[in-house]
Amino acid sequence: MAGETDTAAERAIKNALVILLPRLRRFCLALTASPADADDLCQATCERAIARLEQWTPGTRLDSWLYRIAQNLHKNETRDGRNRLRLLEERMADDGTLEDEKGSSSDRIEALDLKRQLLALPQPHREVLVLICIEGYSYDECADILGIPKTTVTNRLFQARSSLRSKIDPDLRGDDVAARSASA
Amino acid sequence: MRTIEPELLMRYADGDVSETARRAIETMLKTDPEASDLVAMFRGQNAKLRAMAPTMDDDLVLRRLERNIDDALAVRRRRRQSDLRRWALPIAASLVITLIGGLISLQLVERRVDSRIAAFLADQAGDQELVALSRAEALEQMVSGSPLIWANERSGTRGSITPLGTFQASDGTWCREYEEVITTSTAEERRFGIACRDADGRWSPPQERVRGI
Repeated sequence: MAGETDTAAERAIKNALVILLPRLRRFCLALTASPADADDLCQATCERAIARLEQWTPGTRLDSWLYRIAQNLHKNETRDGRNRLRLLEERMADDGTLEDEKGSSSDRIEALDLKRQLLALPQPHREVLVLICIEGYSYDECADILGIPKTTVTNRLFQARSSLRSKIDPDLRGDDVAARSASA
Repeated sequence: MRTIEPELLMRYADGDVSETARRAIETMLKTDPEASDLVAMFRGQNAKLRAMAPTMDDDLVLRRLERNIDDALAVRRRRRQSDLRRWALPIAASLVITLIGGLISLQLVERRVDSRIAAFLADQAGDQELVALSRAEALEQMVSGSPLIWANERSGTRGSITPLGTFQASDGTWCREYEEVITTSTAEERRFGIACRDADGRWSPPQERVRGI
């Protein structure tokens, strides 16, 4: 059979993709800020990656390659102005739905609130927060993935953290640490 | 008193500073409660964001995406097979031509293989020569713990020799313990040895010296 030698490689790729899938989906959410668009983007990214598997250099990082595909696809999507308006409207509609989850614990409410704060930030801030604070990439890796200088990563991350802090500050007033650093 | 830039504190909290900077910042933090509060705040943000991450995930969606991966792989396989079918006849034709050509050039190829085997053996001999030369140089010149690295560009083999320690035998000759690593394209060999230095500056294993006496 023609596919005999392919199957081992395919299985390896499939496993790698499945492991990276939650990360990729979160990154897509950081790019789009809309769950529905993140799903579409994530699916398109996987499809493109599989169709162009020959372009991936074995031994290099599969995650960086996937992130780059996702960014390119997203860039092409949003270049279209009509699309941008639709995305904005969707985001506005999404905003309300997150709050009324029933039977949520206070931890979950706090988490959902933080998620809403994150998705309300501008895209460059969402990207660095997700890659560094959530996925745990280093500043250098993040700069490589996004194709921007490391100093830009640092600046963006600092801005993102600051605006996140000013937004969640009212919730953290009781928290000794946050209150003192806010007054600093 | 010097204060630390908030941006540097953030980089410290995220582990993006050098070892020396880290130590310096830690010393300064001891006397700067505001700065250490800020570090705690950055770390708290990380913890909160990481705890929030699962709310970004959707198991149903992830499972659907996994199925899509299977589908995409199946599409790819089918496309490649149909590619193969399209090329089957031309490939078969070229195979026949190659076979005929191959029979004619078989003798030529055989000769070429012979010369390649000869070259391979020469490369191997080159490796052994390099090992011996490098070992002699390392034992004579290098301080214990620092490796001497060599590479044979022809064969692609490379290696290192690291003297590990030096001692004096009961007869007063100097001996050194060493570690050798030899890496070929297919394997890595690591071995330990002891060599002692004779009056002419030649390094050889102790048992050979005994035999020599």
